[in-house]
Amino acid sequence: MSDRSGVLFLAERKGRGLANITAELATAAAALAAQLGDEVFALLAGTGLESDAQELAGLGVKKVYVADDALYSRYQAEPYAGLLTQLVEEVKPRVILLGHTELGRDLAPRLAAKLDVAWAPNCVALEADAASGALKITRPVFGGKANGLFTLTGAEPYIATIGQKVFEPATAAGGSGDVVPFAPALDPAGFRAALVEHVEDSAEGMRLEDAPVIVAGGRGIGGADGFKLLNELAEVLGGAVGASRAPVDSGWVPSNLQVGLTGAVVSPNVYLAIGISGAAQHMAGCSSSKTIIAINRDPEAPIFQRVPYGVVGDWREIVPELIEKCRGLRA
Amino acid sequence: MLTIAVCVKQVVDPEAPLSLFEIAPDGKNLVPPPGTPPVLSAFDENALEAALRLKDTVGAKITVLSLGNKMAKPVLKKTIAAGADELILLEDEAFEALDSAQTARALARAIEKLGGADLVLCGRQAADTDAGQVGIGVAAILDLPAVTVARKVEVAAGKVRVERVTADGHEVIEAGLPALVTASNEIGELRFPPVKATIAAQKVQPTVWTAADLGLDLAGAARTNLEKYYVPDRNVQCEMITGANPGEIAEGVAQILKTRIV
Repeated sequence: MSDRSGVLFLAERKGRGLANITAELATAAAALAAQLGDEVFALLAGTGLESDAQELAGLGVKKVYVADDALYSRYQAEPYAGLLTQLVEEVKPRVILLGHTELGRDLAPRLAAKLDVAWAPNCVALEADAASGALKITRPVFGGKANGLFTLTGAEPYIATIGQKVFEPATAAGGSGDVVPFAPALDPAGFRAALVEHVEDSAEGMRLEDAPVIVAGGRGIGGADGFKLLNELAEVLGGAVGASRAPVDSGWVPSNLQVGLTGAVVSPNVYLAIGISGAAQHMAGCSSSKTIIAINRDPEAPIFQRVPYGVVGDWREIVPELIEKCRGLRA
Repeated sequence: MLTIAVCVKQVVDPEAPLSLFEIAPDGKNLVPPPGTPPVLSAFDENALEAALRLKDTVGAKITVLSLGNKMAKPVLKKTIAAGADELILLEDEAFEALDSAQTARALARAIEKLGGADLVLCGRQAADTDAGQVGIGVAAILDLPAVTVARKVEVAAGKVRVERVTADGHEVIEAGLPALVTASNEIGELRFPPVKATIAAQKVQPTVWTAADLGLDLAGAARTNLEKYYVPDRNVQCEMITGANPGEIAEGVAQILKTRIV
């Protein structure tokens, strides 16, 4: 047996508060820790962290390590990799969990390389093998067409990034863990990649992740013009416009509208999939929606096997009618 | 001159119809879809395109590296047709089932054997494993700064300047050369090679390096072990909304929206 114990996860923040993935990570970490008979630890980094730290401490976390430093206020690979590496040396966890987010996708492989350990991306299930200590993980492969079951072996800690919207978010359990400061000395002179600038491309409109309704278009929309109609419908419904990969690659819409394996993972109340065939890599980004309505001309489109409501028809005829019928819906 | 190494992976065509998607009975392999040749992983093509644009603008020698076993050489020669200067295949039976860390070691060793490269370009993740592990792994072994998910790559004054895609826009990140950058689809598709170049490229004999050539010992080193692939049952019963005309259909959709949007 190793002298390691515990499951450590990295909390993510969004604006003023914890990002959704953080409470999901708390759930995943707690389940894994229960199997291992271990405790859960969390790392929170940035500035102005008091209330977030308290919230985390209520999510079944034994100890919340707080790295309060402007160096961590926006994610940068080298400071975060340095910070986490030093915390791992102190905590000596058996498993490290990160969100399979923009941050986690970049950081996890760096951390794995630094620690020279195995890691697995985009996990949808985790199981500790109590006898061998190995970590069994399930994750989508082949663009979401299949799942792969893998076993991580070798030196601990094992690292996994957890798929978004896979685990139910943890809720305040009543207990309260300790909040302890963690301030390792990192030498910025050792950083070789410099963040020169951060540019927000489009501040207009609602962010996909926050939208209660998403009107998403695919290859069947045919061009940038078609998306204007989708925009109008989204406006009437108080939602946002999304897209599968084809419209992004064709330049009809900006890439931050992309929903799918390499884009946003969303779970609105309603996801309207218009002119989208239902490629696995797209469905990976929207299948946790509360409900999905697909509109497609092709009755054989694979999407009709994956969604609860379907319409076979020409969206050019249906969407304008839908806009009229939905006006005043929110009033 | 700027030297660029581009790592590309040959994969089963992800655009092949779902009906042809089949997992072998051993659960550990894909059955190659009949009549569908393998392709270069799309993000790796984006990486090559980024390299070619640097060659166009500042001049560069581009070496393409690909690792595997029994690779389809015509598919890889497309990289030469598009404008790469050299193709090196890391081909060995021992490369049949490497995990990402082992693949990174082999590629890193090959880049060292080349005498290093000013810039290493990879796709952000492979079209089959969707992991995004190898590029960062190569950078770690070669001790290079790494920038992921690039939509634009420029080189000037011994530095690489990368526009990195983020959910809310982009970041500009600079790193001194040598460095590694992983490419995203926002870079743009790989240029379509002229017919003449395609024909000429088929005559090029790629250099082949084996595990022994690279001095690699891969025994017992895998830490990510595949147990099995399986297709989860995700099918749901779809209720079709119908109507005599678009207006009636829209009414049906609007009814669902009314109850679901809270």
